[in-house]
Amino acid sequence: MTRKLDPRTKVFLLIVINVVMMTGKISGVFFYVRLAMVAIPFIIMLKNRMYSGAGIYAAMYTYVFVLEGYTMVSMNRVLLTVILFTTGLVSRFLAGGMMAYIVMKTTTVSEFVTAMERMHVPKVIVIPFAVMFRFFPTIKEEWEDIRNAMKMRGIGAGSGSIMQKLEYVTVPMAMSVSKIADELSAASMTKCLSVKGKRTHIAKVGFSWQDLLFSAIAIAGLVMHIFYGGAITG
Amino acid sequence: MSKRLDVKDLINIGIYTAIHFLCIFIFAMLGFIPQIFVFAGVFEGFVGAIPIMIFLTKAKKPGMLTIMGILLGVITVIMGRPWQALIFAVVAGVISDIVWKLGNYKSPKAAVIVCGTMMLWMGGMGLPLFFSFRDNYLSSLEEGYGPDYVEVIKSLTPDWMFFVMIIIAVVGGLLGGLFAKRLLHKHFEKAGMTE
Repeated sequence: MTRKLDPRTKVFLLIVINVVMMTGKISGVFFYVRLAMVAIPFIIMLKNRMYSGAGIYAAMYTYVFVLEGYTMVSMNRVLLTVILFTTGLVSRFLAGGMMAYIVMKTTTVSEFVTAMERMHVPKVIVIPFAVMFRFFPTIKEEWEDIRNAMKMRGIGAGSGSIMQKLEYVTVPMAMSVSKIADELSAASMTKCLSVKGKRTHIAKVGFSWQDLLFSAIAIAGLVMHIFYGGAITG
Repeated sequence: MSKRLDVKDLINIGIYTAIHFLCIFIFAMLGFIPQIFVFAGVFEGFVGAIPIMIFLTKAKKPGMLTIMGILLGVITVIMGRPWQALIFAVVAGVISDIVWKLGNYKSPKAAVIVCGTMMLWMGGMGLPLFFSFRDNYLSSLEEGYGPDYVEVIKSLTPDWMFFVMIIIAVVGGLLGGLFAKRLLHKHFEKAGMTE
């Protein structure tokens, strides 16, 4: 039995959370549906020992839910809009964002590729997708490096037009990115990605009772959402 | 040069799709300000065009832009948009691929047009606001963001606005393409980064 959640389950959970949180209703029984969706990333975070993240996450959602509960009662209209807007933003995006973060943080590239190949997704889709997954944190690193370099040369927020600033950021970014691309493809050579034929995998990927449990919660939420929540299914 | 995609091409697709998506995503946040909600597409297109332009200097084989479209579509669906969004992205990819092929994978004019056509995938992002999805989405927004915000959004987005928003995004892409072309010429061709 594997201890970690299967990548397929994680991606499925991510989709369900986003669908329910972004477009679902809030009041009535749907509060509990949302609560279940919010709880999923929290539990996974605890499971993966990301305690501080889980704490902040829980605190923010408590705050948001309490405020949403209160402001349904009559209140100054302008204030209401401001509060609802901020809480609305947080409650809509935080769960999905957190789940996406968890997917990226806890899934190694080899696990992801293995899972996708089990689903018989063609290689031309799997490899770019895996690279993408891996690449978001790299972009952040590069971005910080470029910012530092700019600061060192005294190019701050105040100097230059917007166009110039765009140029200052994109050009070094493009340079380093194309170098990274070369390095990555050299690395993939050593992993024999370009060899034809069936590859074997060392990463253990499989479903366990945990996957079943989380998927059951997600499917229940999704069913509620589609049949009673007036979901946007077209 | 072989026409088959090798691993290097696939890695390039992944990387530039990631950057393109991130650029768009950051500027999509502008869309929460109702007054510039409609025009956010220009900024998204403009900035998003830069990675595409650089990607085009490396995309010399058929199918690469289609794969990029498929990836973008999958991300939009993962982000909770209706599955029809996938169609928009794939169509955007295929159209871009055809245009790029007609430009022999090197014509600068075709590159600028591709920057525009690629932005068609943004149609999928805005989809929940329109057509049969509209009422449910707005009512859910009303509970979430308050009635005032929804009033503004509602008045801004009759159904025809969907097409206007796509066109705006495409125009943004074209402008961004022109800007990126100049950038490319100034920095990359001189440095010998492009063939």
